[in-house]
Amino acid sequence: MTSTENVSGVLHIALGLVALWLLFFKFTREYREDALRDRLFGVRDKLFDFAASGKIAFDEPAYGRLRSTINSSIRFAHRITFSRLVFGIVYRITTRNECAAAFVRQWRVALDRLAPEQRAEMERLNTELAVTLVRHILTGSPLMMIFFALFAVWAFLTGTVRRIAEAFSDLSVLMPGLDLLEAQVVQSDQLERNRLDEEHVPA
Amino acid sequence: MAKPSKEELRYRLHCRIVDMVGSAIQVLVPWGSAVAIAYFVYLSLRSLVGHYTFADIGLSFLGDFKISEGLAYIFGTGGVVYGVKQKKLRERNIERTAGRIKDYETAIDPNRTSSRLTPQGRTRPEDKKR
Repeated sequence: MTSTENVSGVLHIALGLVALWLLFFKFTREYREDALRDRLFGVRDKLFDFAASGKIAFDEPAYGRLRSTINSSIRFAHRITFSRLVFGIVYRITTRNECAAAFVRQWRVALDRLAPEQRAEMERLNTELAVTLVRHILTGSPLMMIFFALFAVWAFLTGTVRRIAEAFSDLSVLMPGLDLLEAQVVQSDQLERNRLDEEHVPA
Repeated sequence: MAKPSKEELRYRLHCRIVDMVGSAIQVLVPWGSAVAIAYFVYLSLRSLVGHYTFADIGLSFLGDFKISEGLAYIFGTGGVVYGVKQKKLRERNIERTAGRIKDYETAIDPNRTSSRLTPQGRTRPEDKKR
């Protein structure tokens, strides 16, 4: 191979790498955000249909809270990343702040007001929201996917799968940082709404 | 609006720090990769400085172009154009139909809250910055 052919080869590889960079960091990232939003809109539609059928009041705190969490997650879908989850977990482990726990407690209080069938449906939709977010986070990080594949093999071999399926009704047990991630997007949304209210900017 | 407690302010600060670290990683990974690619190309081409002109390199690049490579480039570019056009089509569809859904839902629930995306379903520019 002559030297000019080498140059040509290098340029082909460079072009290929730039194309791959665009594919992973621009197109795939945008697609994943849109796909997450699409799935979250699906959960929100189910919640709305449940209330529209008269099974729960629109002004019920649990309904308002879940809808608000879904809305905030849709709005800040671009912020729901593996690195934020990791730092959320680190934060939960290293600090004992009551405000983070209050977010989960308020949800529990709102659920306690409901009839059993209402509560079951709200918990199911909340789990669907959490599963959607976790799936998005897990599939977004190559490191996490390798870890998850190894974990899946280990869980299969040791029979942990059944126990995990049982624990899935409360994902905060499995993902202690997830509630913080949700609280974070809700808080950002709330702060922005307060700012708009103060400035009298129409929503 | 009630003044937030000291603990709540600390919590907000911690959330902001977590958010900023997350944002920094989100920026560092792609741009770090871009710098790595640029550095790789620079190292590869540095040895050729003084030996070849841009014309030599350009002619070599175009001259060595094989039909199979050309087809691969056309296929890749075509895929990107197809994807972008599909995305635009979907955004136009969202813009056309989302308003109606909003109106119907607001008729049932006048206090309906929104996700505050743009009419095309994109992230608002001010939300991207923060």
